[in-house]
Amino acid sequence: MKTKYISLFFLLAVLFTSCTSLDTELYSSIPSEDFPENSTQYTILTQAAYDKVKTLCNYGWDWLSAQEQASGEMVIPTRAADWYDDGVYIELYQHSWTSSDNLTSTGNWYYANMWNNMYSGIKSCSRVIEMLEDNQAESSVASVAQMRILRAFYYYILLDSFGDVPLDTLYSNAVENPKRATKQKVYDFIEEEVLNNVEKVNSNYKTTVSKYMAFTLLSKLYLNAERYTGNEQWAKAEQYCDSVVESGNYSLESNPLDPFLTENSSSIENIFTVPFDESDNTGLNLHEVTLHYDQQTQFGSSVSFWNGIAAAKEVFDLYSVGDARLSMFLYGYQYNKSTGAKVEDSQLSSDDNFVQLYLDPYIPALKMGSSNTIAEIKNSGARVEKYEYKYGILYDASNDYVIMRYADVLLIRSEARMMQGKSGDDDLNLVRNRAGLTSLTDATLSDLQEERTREMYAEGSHRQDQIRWGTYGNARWEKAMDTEDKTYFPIPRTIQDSNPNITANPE
Amino acid sequence: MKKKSELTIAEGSPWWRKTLFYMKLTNLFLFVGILQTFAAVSYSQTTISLKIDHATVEKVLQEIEDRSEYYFLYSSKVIDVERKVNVNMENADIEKILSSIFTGTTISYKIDGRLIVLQDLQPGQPDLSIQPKSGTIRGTIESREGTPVPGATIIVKGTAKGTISNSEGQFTLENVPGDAILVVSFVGMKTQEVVVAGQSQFHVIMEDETIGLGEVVAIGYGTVRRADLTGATVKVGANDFNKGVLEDPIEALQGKVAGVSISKQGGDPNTGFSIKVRGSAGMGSGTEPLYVVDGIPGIDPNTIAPEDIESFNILKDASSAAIYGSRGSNGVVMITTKKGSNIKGKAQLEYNTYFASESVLKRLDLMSAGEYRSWIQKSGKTEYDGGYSTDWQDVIFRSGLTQNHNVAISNAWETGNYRISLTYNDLNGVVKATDNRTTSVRANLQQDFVDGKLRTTAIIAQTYEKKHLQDYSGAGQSDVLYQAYARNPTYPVYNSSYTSVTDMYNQDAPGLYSSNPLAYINESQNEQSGKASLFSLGIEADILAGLTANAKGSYFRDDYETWNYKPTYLPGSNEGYGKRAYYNTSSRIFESYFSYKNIFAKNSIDAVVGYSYQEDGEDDFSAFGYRSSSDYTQSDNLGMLAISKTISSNKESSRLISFFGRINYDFDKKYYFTGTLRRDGSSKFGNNQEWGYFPSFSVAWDITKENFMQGIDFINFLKLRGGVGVSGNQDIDNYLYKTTYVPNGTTIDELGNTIVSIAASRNDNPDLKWEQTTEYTLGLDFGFLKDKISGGIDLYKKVTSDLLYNYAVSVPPNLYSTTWANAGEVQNKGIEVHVTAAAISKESFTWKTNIVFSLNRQKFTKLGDGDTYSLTALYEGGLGAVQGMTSTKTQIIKVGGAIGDFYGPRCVGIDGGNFLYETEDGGTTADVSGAATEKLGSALPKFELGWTNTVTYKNFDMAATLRGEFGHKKLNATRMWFGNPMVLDNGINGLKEASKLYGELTSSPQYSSYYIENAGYVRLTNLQVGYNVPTRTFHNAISKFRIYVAANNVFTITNYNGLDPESQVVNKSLETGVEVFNIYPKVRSFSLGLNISL
Repeated sequence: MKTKYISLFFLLAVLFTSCTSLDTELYSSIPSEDFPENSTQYTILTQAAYDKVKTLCNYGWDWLSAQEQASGEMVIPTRAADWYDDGVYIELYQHSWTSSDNLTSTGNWYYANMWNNMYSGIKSCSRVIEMLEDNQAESSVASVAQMRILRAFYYYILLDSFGDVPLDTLYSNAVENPKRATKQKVYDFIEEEVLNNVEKVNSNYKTTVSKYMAFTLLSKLYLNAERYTGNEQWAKAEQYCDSVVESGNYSLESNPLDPFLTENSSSIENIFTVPFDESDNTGLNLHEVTLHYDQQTQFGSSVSFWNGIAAAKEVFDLYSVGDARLSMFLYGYQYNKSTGAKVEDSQLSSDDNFVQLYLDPYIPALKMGSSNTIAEIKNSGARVEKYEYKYGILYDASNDYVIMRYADVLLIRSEARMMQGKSGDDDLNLVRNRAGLTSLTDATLSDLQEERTREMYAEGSHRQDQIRWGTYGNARWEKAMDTEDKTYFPIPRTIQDSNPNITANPE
Repeated sequence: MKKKSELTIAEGSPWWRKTLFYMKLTNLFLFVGILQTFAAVSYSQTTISLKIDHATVEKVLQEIEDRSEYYFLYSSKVIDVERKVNVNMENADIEKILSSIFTGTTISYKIDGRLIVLQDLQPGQPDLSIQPKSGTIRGTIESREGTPVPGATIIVKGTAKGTISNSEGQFTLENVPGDAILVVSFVGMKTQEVVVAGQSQFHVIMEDETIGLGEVVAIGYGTVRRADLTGATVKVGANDFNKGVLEDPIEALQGKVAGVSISKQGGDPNTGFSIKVRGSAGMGSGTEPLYVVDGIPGIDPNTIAPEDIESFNILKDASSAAIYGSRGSNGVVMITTKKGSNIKGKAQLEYNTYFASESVLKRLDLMSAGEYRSWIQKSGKTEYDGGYSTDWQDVIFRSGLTQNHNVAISNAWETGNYRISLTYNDLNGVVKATDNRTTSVRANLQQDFVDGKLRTTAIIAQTYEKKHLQDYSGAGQSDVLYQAYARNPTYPVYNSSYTSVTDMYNQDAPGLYSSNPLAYINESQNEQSGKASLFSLGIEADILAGLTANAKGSYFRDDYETWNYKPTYLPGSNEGYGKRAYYNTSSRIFESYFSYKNIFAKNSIDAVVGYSYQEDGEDDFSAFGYRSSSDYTQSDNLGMLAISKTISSNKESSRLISFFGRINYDFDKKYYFTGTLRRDGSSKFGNNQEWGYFPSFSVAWDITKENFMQGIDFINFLKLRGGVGVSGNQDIDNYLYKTTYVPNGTTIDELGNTIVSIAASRNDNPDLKWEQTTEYTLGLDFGFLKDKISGGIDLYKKVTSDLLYNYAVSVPPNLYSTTWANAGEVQNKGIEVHVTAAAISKESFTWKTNIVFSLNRQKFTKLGDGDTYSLTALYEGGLGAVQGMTSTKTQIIKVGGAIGDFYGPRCVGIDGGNFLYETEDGGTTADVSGAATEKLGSALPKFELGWTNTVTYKNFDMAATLRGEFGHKKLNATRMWFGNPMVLDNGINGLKEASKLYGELTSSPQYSSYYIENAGYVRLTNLQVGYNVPTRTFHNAISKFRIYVAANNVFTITNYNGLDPESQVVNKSLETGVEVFNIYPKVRSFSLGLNISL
């Protein structure tokens, strides 16, 4: 009998426990079907769409750094065994990439970062648009307009960097392996989206899409229209600058570096910014990449700096003494920012011999090695402090990152006017005077170009400007004349690999 | 049914009667303790069909043992087993067969249960009582582990006189002639002859039979005799383990099993070994085998003390592993822990201990302070002379002292047994402040009810560990190995005058992100503490004849916490960095199955059907911050941190449900068939892809049973096996098939308020499914010269398809540039050979040699699906730890290639300060960007050899294991960096090579064939010499006292210049064979150990 009970027990045990359900709970993440759960999360989604604007300046390995190096404004020289990194910086500086982006086994990560981040931003915008499109509430209409313009901004960056790019505007049901659209089509899309939505935008915040951000975007698009479409749009460029200027919302700060102070969120000059913060919104690390190791004490920082990117001497030399903007360069003997004490060069000093840190704007070679002195390897190149580096700066800085500002608008208008045969003097002189330079009369395009180069230094504008001015392919220090068109970056190798419809750049 | 009365011995019982009694005890434990799935079958009803012509009696008896549950006890010295007989019986009972064999001889037989005792009743044996000059002799019989062997037969050679050892392994024989020879035998052990030579006290140590075809092998939800295996399954018992310091229990098997590669780069006491069964097969999924501990799947073997392990059973091929279908893709390692004493009523106490000294096996050949000064003279960079002399490797290395203690108590009674052990292990690494202290307790309990028909087992195990760790994976300021190698040897360790710890360590030396490694070692907090618990209760019941039901519920939980703190005055500490983290993983497992075993005429059948349910959970929490107001409180008070907003936590779960069945069938013990089917569901896969089927079958043919083999006496065993099976892999993270929404850091909204952003976690893929391995195996097992030489050869081909990986996808339309999917395919083909030879088996001298050879060839046959997940190559072997090489990849996995294929420029020499590289058109160039990309070798060994020799001489024993891997390359990126003169220009120390090349080479460090070295090696991984102190020394109060010395990594023969030529494919990583100052030095250890049993 006992065995019967035992077998019964087992049968029951098996029957009762034979669970076949594989449903498991999600604990620490939200299922997509439950998101967004409430109106706060809609707002968060809208905020998150701005996330990729942050990446433009991502400590040097993304859009900003690519612009600076490709334009020759800044350079990352090889410092003995440091900063070679498979030659990615040299490639950018010398325009030596090839269409297959074959420099290293994985390709130059700059291109993939620029591409992926912009498309990720585009997706986030499309998601909010898709969610709110059918909602006629005023706030939803405004949000959709904002997202459409932000998406157009991302496309503007892609158009400028890569030329023909896939036009993907859907969040769900997006086309698999999309083809590249022509520059004209992308240009038309950007123009149309901004024009159709600019009047629906109701935000006046600098950190979001505002009407004036949209106007500035249009003026920048028109400024470079010839490159994208073959047709000049100088009048339209001027027109949308007028819209910004005439709003009266913006004016020049008294000091040309004031828009870049640590506390710059309310700067009257800035039109579109990213609100960085050392702990709550991190990602602005320009100081890390440029400052010398020994400047850690100079800036009272607890984090170590990387001694990488520096100003190219040719551009540094464009500034004359008396130019207020010259103070953005750290060169010559260095003094503690707080105490004024001499900063020690720890490499060259010894117990009984104090040597002060001296940063020499002259860089002996793009690749420095055993034939160079320690001082050359470590100390050459003026460092760039366009954004104020506060004393006690951490790994991340708290300055807001400036994407569009009033001085840029003035210079665009000046250039657009000159190109139409009008005088650009007024706008140009506003910028010149502010920097401590004298006014010009009948300023030439070359005056404008020199001024724009000085004013917009380290803001990622120079590559685009050079291309427009036809000087981008020219020979310069440690770079030969381009033998083929390098005005667009190569399509990242990973993208070419994963999408058979994407062709190389140039095609 | 056995009658109770049989369990007592009547005074004056014949000797075989006693044998019977003790054998029955052995039975009891053998079959209750080990062969739990065997049901009680009524043996007397068993019929046997046997047709053998002109075979020896021994052969016939062997045949009966094979075909039935019976086994024989006899002495071949007494019974003439070489006599040839003919047997032709159809469905005959055992009595009939035996009488046909022995009718007309003086041999009588007695059947008791399964045991058949043969005895020679021949008259005319000398009357022992009147034999002159005889004495009484006494002795004990033990196994090599020191456990007494009860029921062993002791016979005076050439006579019928004999006895059986008692429950304590002791025996007494009276009136034994002074010149007699004792023959000691026991089932499963080698028969020994002992010369009396006038002595009266004997201590006999029995060796396990080398081959033991009757040995029981675990195959998952059951066991089979080794002779009946159809798949590639290998068992290694405790006797054959590597001894001495074990950094991981699996190290006990290193070099012992063909096709099982167990390796580890370096000697970090806090990292385990990597184990690959028949090559690594995966891209993004796990490639470690499934561990099954005492029948419980998914248990971390590191929670088990090596002393508690009785045996490892490794299921290598898919046809064996298919019973664990869902997770058998990379093989299954079954661990059986030791159970209670097998002697009823005899409590046992064991104490095992060792003390070991550990030292660095190899250091980097860096410049000394004097040599560095010579370089300074040569280069003129006098700024770099700090004025002191320091050997930074001396500063951070030490001689580690390790101790281990294991105490086990066990007992057994009629209906149950227990074993409880307590182990303490204190492993001190050779880098200062790296250690691992583990305390573990394990209790195995068994209790039977209902006349042994209902059996319960319980396991309770707890492990506590406390570790100190150091960072060494990269070149950062806290990476102590890099900092010690790089630090200028002319700089001092301490400042000459200091007032407090904050300015005690000299931090001045030049170099990139230089810091003082000793300051990090001494002043930073880097601790980890963990506890793992296992609770398991199993019930097994005999329901009907041959039918057994089994159910087992288990709970496993692993918790650990970490404490990290970097004081304010250390560089890179962000003014004081603190972090606390807590993690736990848990598994709830329920399994039930029925097994049925029966014999019908010539057919044996053994079937299992079952169900398995496993739910795994994961939960973690961490918080960190920086800018501390106090270094005193370290991470014990995170409230001291000014910036401390980084809090995160995570909780996940997954479920795995399986139904499985297996049938083992054999006809006539000659033809074998095994079929397995398992259906598995995993919550890790997309909604329509959760369930997978994993079938397998295998066949075997025992050729020796064929008539045509009967005359060939030197071959005693020859079996051909073949099988094919499919097994799966689901070892990836949870929820990878769907998009979820997760916090994505803080951001600031337009009003300046901090908000947490929420972002999609990944791209969706509802089609994510099982990765599958289809494996074909062909094997031959052999035994020659009465198993003096035995072994096996296996050929296999493993095709792993639908490889799980995070594939690159197109952006747009995807949100992210990678998606988890199934696409690639990889093949592993190989040959395994193992041969064991009992070269010498004299009574006082034995020598056994064991050679294992493994060859594996890996080939990716598909990387993507050519469509959505198209992939032309995978770039691996990154040099991210090297400054200036953040994105350099040194290996390319292509279709037709394998993991670890180095590609890059081929360097042909140095000229004019530059490396010269080959170009596409056969020329040379100094510009690396113009160099041709060539295949530079593979980091996977072409073959692997293990050679173990075991020698015993009287009470001494010696074992040595040599292990070698051959034909592989390693990239010595440590040399690429520290051997390049340009690093000296950055103010850091370099290898002597850098100084020699100074002036000759002015190129910055560059990856090329110049730094790819042949890494083939032979290493004496384990050497041990032991001495068993005769127990009479202790008046038999102690039944075993073994003292031994052991050494690990005694020497290495290699041309490789780096720290460790050993190859290692790390789980879930496609990178292998790159040494980049991240190798914790390999450790050589010498240990002195004791094993004592009461």
